[in-house]
Amino acid sequence: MLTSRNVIVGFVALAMVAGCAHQKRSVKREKEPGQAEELSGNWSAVDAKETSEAIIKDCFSQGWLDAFAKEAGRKPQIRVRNIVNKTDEHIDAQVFIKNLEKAMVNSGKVSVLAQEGAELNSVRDEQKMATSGESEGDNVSVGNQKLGDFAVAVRMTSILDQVEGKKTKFYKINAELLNTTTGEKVWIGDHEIQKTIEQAGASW
Amino acid sequence: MNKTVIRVWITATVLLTAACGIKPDQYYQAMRPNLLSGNYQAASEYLAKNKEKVFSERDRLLYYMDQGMLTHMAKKYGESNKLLESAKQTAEDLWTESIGANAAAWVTTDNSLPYQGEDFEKVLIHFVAALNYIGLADHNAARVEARQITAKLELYNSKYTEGKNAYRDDGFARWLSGRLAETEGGNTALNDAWIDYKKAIDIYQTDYAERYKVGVPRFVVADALRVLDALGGDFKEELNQVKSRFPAVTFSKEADLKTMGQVVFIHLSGEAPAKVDKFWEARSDQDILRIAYPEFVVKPMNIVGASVELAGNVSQTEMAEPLSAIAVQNLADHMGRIQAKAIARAVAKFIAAKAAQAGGDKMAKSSNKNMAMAGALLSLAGTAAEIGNYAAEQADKRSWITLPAAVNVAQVAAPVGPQELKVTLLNAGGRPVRNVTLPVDVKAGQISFVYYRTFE
Repeated sequence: MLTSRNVIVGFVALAMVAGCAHQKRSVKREKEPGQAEELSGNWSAVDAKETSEAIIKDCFSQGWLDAFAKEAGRKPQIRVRNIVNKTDEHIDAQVFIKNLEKAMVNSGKVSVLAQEGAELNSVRDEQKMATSGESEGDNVSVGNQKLGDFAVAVRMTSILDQVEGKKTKFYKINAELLNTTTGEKVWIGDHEIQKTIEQAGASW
Repeated sequence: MNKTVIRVWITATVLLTAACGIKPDQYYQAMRPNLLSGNYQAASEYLAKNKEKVFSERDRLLYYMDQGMLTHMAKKYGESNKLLESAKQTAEDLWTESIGANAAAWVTTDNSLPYQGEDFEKVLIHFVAALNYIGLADHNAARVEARQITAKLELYNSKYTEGKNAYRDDGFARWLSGRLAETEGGNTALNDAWIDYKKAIDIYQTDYAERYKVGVPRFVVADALRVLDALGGDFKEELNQVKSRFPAVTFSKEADLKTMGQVVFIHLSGEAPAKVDKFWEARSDQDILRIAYPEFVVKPMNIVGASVELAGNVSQTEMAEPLSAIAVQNLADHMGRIQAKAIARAVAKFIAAKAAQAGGDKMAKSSNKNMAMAGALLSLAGTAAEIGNYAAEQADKRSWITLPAAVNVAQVAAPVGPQELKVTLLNAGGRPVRNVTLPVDVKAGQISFVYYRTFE
């Protein structure tokens, strides 16, 4: 009942509650990275992990490695050369490319060379120092860098289909091994992801 | 004193208390002479000295943003970044709204709530931080700010469905992210930049055209064409699409720029609008109900752009970020909610005041002397409250007051070495107002950012 007493008590209660502010943030650590819940529907850690695993598995299960080793009598030398992102999101391909390089090195069957950019620049800087006359020792020399028998090219594309409140996203990630002498594609691997994102209308 | 009397005193206090809101334009006007004369250090010292007096705990985000801007203009980049980091953290923390505080604000005033910052203000925190890192020649860190901008804008994109009237994305911030991405060098950087430029063009053509009546700046299209051309065959289709959409825009090829540098001139012009109280009144007999809501007053601006010249290359600035229009439109988006709260609040306070008067009048007739006194007080408090509510009704006038009214950009290719960028500041009629010369050290194949602030 809207008596003066009730209104007064109501006001006082509200005024006293007014000061309370709680910090509502908690952080939960996933035991296995790449397993967490997907939130926005954009490219996520789950996508990167899944793509990584699929491409590595495919790469090592095809015949190009054995064919090369048999013909050349040595491990193939590989350099990641071209990464093309045709999606509308900032996707860092290095997240799964590094996993691929790591799997290649750890298998002991493939020799991985430095990527163009910061990696190769580090090598060149060290060589520059060797020829500058600033350092002693002859363990670093110029002109002995290996060339890639194969170049890795990665291409990421996406298709977005949407109406208000609902959208489907399709990602396709392609990785190819190109013979740098003949231009032949010796391996093509890909991974496809499709998601449907639904969203209730925003309220104020 | 018995419980009823105590309760009455509390009520009287509650009814008579109006949380006075901070008026950012007040301290801004006190600092303005220093700002106009370029004496940013003095303005910053003034704000620091008056911090306790002007800002309460609820307004700390404003302090961090304003002091962050002032120290940035005084070229105290490290100090500015510390303040802007506090601003970012505070905005994150305040995102969790206290239910109790919100309920109380429905009854007393929005000024009793901490200032959370508008969405576009939160994006601009990163813009000023990026300028700081550019000033410190740390492009790596500036790129981090660019990534944080992208993350924020993606969040706003997902917050508002298309078609809803809200600040969902930022053309200028997307372009800046792309430009900063380019500073890394290499094809991946150009690819990343294209993704930002593409979004920027879309946003200018949709949201910005509709909400702020601004067209796509030519320099954004030129940057998009340049990176697409440099990316080669894989992006030939996209290059042709952009060319056909903007047949009049020319661009310098990336290859031609290898032996030169690029200078990006960022001109921050004018002063952000300030909020004032607007009132509605409803009268009946002796009763009067007053409702306050905020409205932006846009400040007049004389210098609206600039023409730049470097080693014979000339370029004109174009409007990249219409901040005044963004602020005004953003407030208009929220006005429904602001006014609904203001009405509910005014009505609730009116009822309480009337109830206190009626209740007090009844108690004043009591034979118990204490009751009678308490009753008289309550009635008085009720009447005073009705008058007080009228007088004290204030809108929330908080906003980031040290922002400019607009950001304008011009780009020019430059020969390598220490150069002088000759800037002619222009009024709306295109007439020169004054000149300024800014030094810039141009490096081959790299981007140099130069920025300048005008207030008048």
